[in-house]
Amino acid sequence: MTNAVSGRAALNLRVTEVVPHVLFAGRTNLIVVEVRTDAGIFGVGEASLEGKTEAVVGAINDVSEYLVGQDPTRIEHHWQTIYRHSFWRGGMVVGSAISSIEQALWDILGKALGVPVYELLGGRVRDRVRLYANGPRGDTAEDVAESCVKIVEAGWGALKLVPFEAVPGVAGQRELREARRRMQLIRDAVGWDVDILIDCHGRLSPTAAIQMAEALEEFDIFFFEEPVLPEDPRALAEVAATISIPVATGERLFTKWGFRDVLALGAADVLQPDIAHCGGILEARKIAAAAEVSFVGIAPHNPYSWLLTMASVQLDFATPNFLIQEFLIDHPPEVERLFAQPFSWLPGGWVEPPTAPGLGVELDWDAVRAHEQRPYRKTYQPSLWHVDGSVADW
Amino acid sequence: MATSRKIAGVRTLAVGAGWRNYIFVLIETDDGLTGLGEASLGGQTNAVLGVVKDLEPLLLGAEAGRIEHLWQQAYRHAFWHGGPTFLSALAGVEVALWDIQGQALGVPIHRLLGGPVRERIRAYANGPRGDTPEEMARSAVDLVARGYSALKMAPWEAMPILAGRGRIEDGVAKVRAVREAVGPEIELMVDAHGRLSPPVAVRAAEMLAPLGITFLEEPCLPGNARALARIARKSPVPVAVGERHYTRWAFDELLASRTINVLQPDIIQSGGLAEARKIAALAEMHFVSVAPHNPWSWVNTMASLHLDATLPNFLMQEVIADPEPWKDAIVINPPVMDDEGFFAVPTAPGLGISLDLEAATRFPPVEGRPPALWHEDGSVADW
Repeated sequence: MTNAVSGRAALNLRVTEVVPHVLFAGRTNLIVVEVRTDAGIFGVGEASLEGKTEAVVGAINDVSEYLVGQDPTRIEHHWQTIYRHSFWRGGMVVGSAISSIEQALWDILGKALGVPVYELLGGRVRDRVRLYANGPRGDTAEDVAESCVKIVEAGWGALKLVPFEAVPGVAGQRELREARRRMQLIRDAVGWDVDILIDCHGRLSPTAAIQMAEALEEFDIFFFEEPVLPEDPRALAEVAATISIPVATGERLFTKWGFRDVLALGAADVLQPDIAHCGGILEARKIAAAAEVSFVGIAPHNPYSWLLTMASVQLDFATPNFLIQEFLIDHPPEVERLFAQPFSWLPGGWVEPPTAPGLGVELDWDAVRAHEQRPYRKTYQPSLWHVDGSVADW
Repeated sequence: MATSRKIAGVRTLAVGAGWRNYIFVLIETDDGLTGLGEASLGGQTNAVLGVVKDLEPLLLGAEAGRIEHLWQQAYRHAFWHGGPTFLSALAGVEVALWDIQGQALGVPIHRLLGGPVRERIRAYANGPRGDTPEEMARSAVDLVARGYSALKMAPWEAMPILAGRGRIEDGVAKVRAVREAVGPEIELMVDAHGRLSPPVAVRAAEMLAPLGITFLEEPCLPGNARALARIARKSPVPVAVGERHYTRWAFDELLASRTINVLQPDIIQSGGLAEARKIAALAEMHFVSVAPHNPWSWVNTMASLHLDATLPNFLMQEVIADPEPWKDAIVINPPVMDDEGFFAVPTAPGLGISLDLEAATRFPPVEGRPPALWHEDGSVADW
């Protein structure tokens, strides 16, 4: 434990460099920001954003000139300066850049004080954090069910999947029947003790969302994520007021202001801020506090690396209304090798409190530097199409 | 290297402070740290001390660094949630735990809340006093000479449910005298202390508006957000409220009315430092400012300064400006206001203030009741 005198001395820090690292990760690029200080302490944060790698790296570079020379422990102040002085505020690109830098600053503060970040957020409010697997894969209903079985056998107690692809504005009988068939196969395969989360990925119209929820309700769905696109919280409120499956949303909402109307309208039962996009750890903590007032839970979005997972877990341990944490289970081996230790979890999908200072993430910098030399896909973005060749929302 | 530091002792101390007492909570850890928090609540000393006693079994042996977790257990496991008595005691405990955590890590508390977003903190005086416009003006001039750039006064006493302009003017005249005495640049705030009915409050706000009033505080009693919203919508003076709202749930309802301009949570009565931080975050969502309430000792002032340092939407910090002998005497290292009316961001580890326990014995607790106001017919008026 750091004593008082050295604690204060340790806080006499200045940022010397802000370095974005882009690491090809198959599905998307991993964007890691590294904030270095004059005391040798450095912090890391994640800003991965599908299809917008260059923009996020550019946004990080836009603020690095400001950050160099600053005291890294004035975390809220730097957030305010970067976000509010920009005049053109927010959005997912700047949101992701600022989020990653904010995570890195908490990492620095935690390391400087010798404690995990949750100790700086009011301390630990739970003994373990529950994860759910973002994982079942497969092209056919049978493949997906088999993938679910493997995941449950590996020890997971909750998993999330999207049981449909493009769906017309009014859901067709074909899409509704196929979605039901998929869920029936999965329930038959894994039983009823596993929590199944459905991600609609914003693919449904309000009408189709209500149709789909009614069709799938009998399969005991844990929550129904992003049933409609995030642009109109009133549409989501209409869906939430009609269906009986709890509604979750938030990965495409940014800053506390983005979440305000969803809460005011009672449009969701669970909020899913992403610490890599919403503005960072403290911003997510504010969103969680607002959610607490409406008796709404928090399930941080995180289909990204173990770095964002650890940043999220720090928040989860400090947040009373935390529900469950998303975790991507199939990172490519070359991404796992970027970390000095594998991410460890216990059967059932539980994580124990981290004890290492800061975010508790150690990168293998030799592996990072080697991986960084590899070309990455600049504009990767999966796409969905309707049967008539028109654009569908992925 | 998560902290492992257990709570080994919980003590309380009541210190006489005029008609009321300051109430302090001192928490000791098994490795020799002592944290200090304030739990003052006028007229309810025994009840607050009783709550701290009730919390002792939860606290003793608990990990001192798990501040939010202990708050959650104290508040939510209680089943009978909240209220000013309970929350004041809980806040005293909670601030003492932040003090310990800051000391343990060697940093001021604000560093654990995202760090300072400002370099100095503007104070306002809960201050000009006087029964006549002349007295009030003299008192205001004294305060300005001491450096204050913002002053708050409570110009009305008991007020009937409906009152004509003449009756309201009794109070407005005091404010006018102050404005004329201090000039146009000093910020003036008016505290109605919940003494006005909605129609009287609206008329009072209209009469005050030409005097350039920064905010009108508690125009009516708390407890009816719709009545307050009705006043705020019509008031040409921004409306502030919050000292008698407890926890974020109460403030959420105020914000939902979209008419309140300034929130005034008190770290003590709202439930603690983290609770006030959450309330301020809600306010930030609605572009509403925060001016923490604080008519208490230097201990809650210090806690407030840590909070203020971190709030993007902070406006001004209340401090009692009356020369009270006990106020300075009982503490070591009270914050010092500069001659422009600002406090510095605290720099010492933890809360950065401690009690002079020996000096405190010179001010024994009183069996005080709040001052009583009466209507002309002998019925009870709200103080």
